[in-house]
Amino acid sequence: MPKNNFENTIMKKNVTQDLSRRAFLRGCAAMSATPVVSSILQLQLMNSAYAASARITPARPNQYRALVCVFLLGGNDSFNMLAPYRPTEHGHYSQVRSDLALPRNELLRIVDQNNRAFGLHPATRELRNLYNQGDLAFVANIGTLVRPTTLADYNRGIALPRGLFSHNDQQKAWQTSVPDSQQAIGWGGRMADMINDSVNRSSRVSMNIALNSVNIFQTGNVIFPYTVGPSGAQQLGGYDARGLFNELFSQATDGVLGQQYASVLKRSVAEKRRDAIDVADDFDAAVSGHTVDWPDEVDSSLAQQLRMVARTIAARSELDTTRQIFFVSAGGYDNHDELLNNQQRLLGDLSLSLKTFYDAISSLGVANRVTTFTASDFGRTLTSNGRGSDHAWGGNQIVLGGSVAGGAVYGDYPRNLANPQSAGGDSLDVGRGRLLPTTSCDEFHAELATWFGIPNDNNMEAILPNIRQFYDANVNRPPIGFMGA
Amino acid sequence: MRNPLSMFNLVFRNITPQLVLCHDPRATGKLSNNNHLVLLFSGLCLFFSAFLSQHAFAILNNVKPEHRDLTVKRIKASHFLHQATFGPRFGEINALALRMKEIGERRALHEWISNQFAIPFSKNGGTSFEQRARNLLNADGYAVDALGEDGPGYAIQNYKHHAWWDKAIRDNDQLRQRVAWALIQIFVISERGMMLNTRNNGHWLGILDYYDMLASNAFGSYRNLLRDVSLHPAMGLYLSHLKNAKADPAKGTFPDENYAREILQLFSIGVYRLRQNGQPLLDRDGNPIETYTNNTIRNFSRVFTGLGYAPSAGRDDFRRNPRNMFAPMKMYDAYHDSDAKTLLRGQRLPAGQSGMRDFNQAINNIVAHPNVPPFISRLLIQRFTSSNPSGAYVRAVADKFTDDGRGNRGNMRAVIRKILMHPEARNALTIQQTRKANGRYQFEVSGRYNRRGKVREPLLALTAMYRALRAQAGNDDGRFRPRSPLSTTNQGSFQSPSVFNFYLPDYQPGGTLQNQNLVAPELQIYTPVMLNRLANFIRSRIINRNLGLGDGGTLNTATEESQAHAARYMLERLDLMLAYGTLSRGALDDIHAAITSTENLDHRTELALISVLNSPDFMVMQ
Repeated sequence: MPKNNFENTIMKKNVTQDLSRRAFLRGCAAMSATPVVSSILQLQLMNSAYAASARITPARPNQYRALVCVFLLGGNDSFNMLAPYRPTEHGHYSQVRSDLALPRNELLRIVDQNNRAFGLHPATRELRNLYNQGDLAFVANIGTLVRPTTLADYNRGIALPRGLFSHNDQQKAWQTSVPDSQQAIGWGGRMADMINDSVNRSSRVSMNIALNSVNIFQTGNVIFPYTVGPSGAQQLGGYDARGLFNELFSQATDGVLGQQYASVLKRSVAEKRRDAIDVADDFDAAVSGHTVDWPDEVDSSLAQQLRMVARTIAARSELDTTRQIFFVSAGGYDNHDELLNNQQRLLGDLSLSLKTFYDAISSLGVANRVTTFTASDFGRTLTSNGRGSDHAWGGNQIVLGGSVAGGAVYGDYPRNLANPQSAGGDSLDVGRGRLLPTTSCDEFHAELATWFGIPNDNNMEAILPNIRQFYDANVNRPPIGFMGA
Repeated sequence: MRNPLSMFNLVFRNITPQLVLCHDPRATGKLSNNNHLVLLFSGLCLFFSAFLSQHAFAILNNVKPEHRDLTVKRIKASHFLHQATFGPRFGEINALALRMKEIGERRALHEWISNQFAIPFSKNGGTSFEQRARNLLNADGYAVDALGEDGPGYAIQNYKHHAWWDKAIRDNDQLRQRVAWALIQIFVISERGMMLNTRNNGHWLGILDYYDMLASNAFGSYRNLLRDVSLHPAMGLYLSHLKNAKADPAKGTFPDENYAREILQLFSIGVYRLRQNGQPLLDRDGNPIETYTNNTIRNFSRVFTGLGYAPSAGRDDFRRNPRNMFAPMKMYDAYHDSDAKTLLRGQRLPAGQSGMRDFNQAINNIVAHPNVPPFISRLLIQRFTSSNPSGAYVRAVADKFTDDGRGNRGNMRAVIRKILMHPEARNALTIQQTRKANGRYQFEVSGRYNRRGKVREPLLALTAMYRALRAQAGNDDGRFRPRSPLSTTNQGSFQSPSVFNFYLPDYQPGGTLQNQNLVAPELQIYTPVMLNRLANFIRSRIINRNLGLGDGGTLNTATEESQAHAARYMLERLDLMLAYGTLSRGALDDIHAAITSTENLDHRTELALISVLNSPDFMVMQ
């Protein structure tokens, strides 16, 4: 982000008569490409355990890698996405889920690495195929944890995430991976702060790209998500275009945005508008020439977002970057009512969209350089409210990619959902079939960060401040194991 | 000198603007191609200039000593009206300023507020939103569930957007409408989801029935508001406590916790204990204190059992009543959990009470919680004046909420009056007057508080533009029928993406605001795409002089065009009307330099309007 638009604009006014405005702006941005950290921020960095400790070069810096977060807004009822299949286990599932249980004969049978059978939701044939191809895995009963937590801890309120069972608090907790804090810096943002300088070499387009909406996951202290729509960026019409009117329009726009505003909000708005104008040019210049194979009929909101991600990945050379983090989202998962009908539609869309996306990046030749993972506010109550399910905690997530050790279910999927227990025999039910997670988001994120090139040392701690509660420093064994060697 | 026109500008800048108020084609050095129009136009200008001569004077620069006082009041009136309405027209600013001069600033503003309180509104009355939509449907000859060739060529449900716009642009009950618009951003329902927007039988009009309920409670009590919200079938559908039945041990089902959670988390007290000034109350270890546990939620979920649609069509049955969006839900005790419950702060409801007794006591239990005044006060302040109010401001409003001075808790009139009249809202401007060599005065207006104020909601930026530019309906009946600008602005009436509103009250964009620990909720939806789309939309509206959004109405820029040869004067008037004089000197100079580089008066007008409407000084309200 250009630190001082005021100077840029003043200089431009005097100099740009013969220079293309666009070229000139690019030059200015390059001059201020190293973000200047304010003194207040520096203070925060020193005081904060969460701040990235250093700028580092990730492992294999020249080999392109991307992470794609698919956030399922509202709290996916994921024990109907990945259900038990063994007769006894399915019996327990049917018992606790009551009218929300899917019949065993409708489930799509898969088998995990230990020959345990599971049933996928009938609308997710594409997920089953990807699983059977070895490109997709599940991580079971994962959720926000401050540290390994028992039912006794929960009942005594010890070291619990803030705002358990609340949508916005738990979305935030998943995205920051610091559920005991109110801070709004995401783990993807911290990772970008750390490696941006060595992997995102010259582009003004952020290495963190969001579809449609801003998010905390990709927000760092210095790197912020650049948000585009399903068809890309949006240009400011008439800016830098031909004709006297447009020239004057551009001149006035630059002038208005170039003032030194005393109001912090006005300064923010001026910066945001300036960036929106400038970066849209760069993004479109890089991406607009790239298309991907994408069947017309796969056109849900999620599919359109993922298509744009695929196109942006196709433009990685023009964007001159070797690491990118994407964020897409799908709404509608908060089904207190009409759960079964809505799940049919939502999971069907998720399945088809992920498959189409995987085909697209495979045809770009980067299937093993892109890892896609789901996240969601929380799991849902196993018990029914008569029409749907309510907010809970642990749930199941998907990881997809050529580098994923697929065809497996990781984590600890409870043997008996009617009486869920940890490996040690403690109950995992905090009420109404709300599952205490047995794998933490931190472990999930640490494994993805490792694949992204972050060493398991103090740098990992800077990205995931609570990680040492779950995963020791300098061990080589991955925390969960879903990313292939 | 960039070009020869600059000389012309220099000359013009020094002419007293009131002398050139009248559009004189010769002065521009260029005659329009259409002499008839110009003549007609000049005649109109003469007429208006004679009419205005009593009050017309330099806007902010070169103000005569005898006009200083009124100028101050115009600035303050404009600022106030931008906070309290959907945007003022120039004449409204003048009228309020004159009244301020007559009876004093604060008295005039209090009087304005009182007058707004006095404008009658009833949920089923002629000025209601639902009735407005039905009137428009009748006028256009469409049934409430018209489809295809029987309809307008777009979804009939758009008539609720028509009603929202028509009332926002035309009706005088501006403050009530602004409060209703603030309330639906707290007590959120939305056409997006949960079948609220169903066409059949005009069920979608239930959304307007809900909105009318908010509007009719806007100047009432928070307690009744919370009760009516909780009993409205639109909310019952949206947060699924409609047909929520008590636990059924045989089936293994439990009450739905959705409404129980959100009424506490979003509509009343929030997740953490608050001090009266809105800051978190901390325990001895410095940690926030939760207001409720999940066990509290489960107890409240049992309160909100047994509510079904009101009986209709001869049917009176919890599960089988036909859909009825226009009457409060009815309590069916057979489906209500009548076991004992423990609510907030340990208050117990004994077993065996009727469902409505449980319901009313639960509402009272929530309303009595000490978090309600600071929690709701802060949310309302954020919708009107400031994203980051000081603790003192929140406390002052919360104190009024706690007790209006007559022992009433949650008196919305007292709360709204305090929000608008608090010094942090009213003294937010610094108005400097500098005496010039010619004995006249130069006014400079700036924000007093660099960390306060708020970003305009995109929808309210558009209403301000439409109203300032005297929108004229394209239709003979004088009514407006725009559709939603959601795809351009990320915001549209009744179109929140979820119960968490368009943006979170604590949204912090990365960078400067986060470093200073400031929030800017509205910036959550001003993504780069939306910023440029909104700017493009505004540019189109100004160039085409129309409302867009499918409406045939026009924007009237005749006044601006008639002043365009006196560019500085025109800009200062726009500054006063749209930014209450806060347009930065540098920005004003830059816009002036740009527009005076063309002789085309239409272009000058357009460039000036586009630039001011897209300026941070317009987009952010001090």
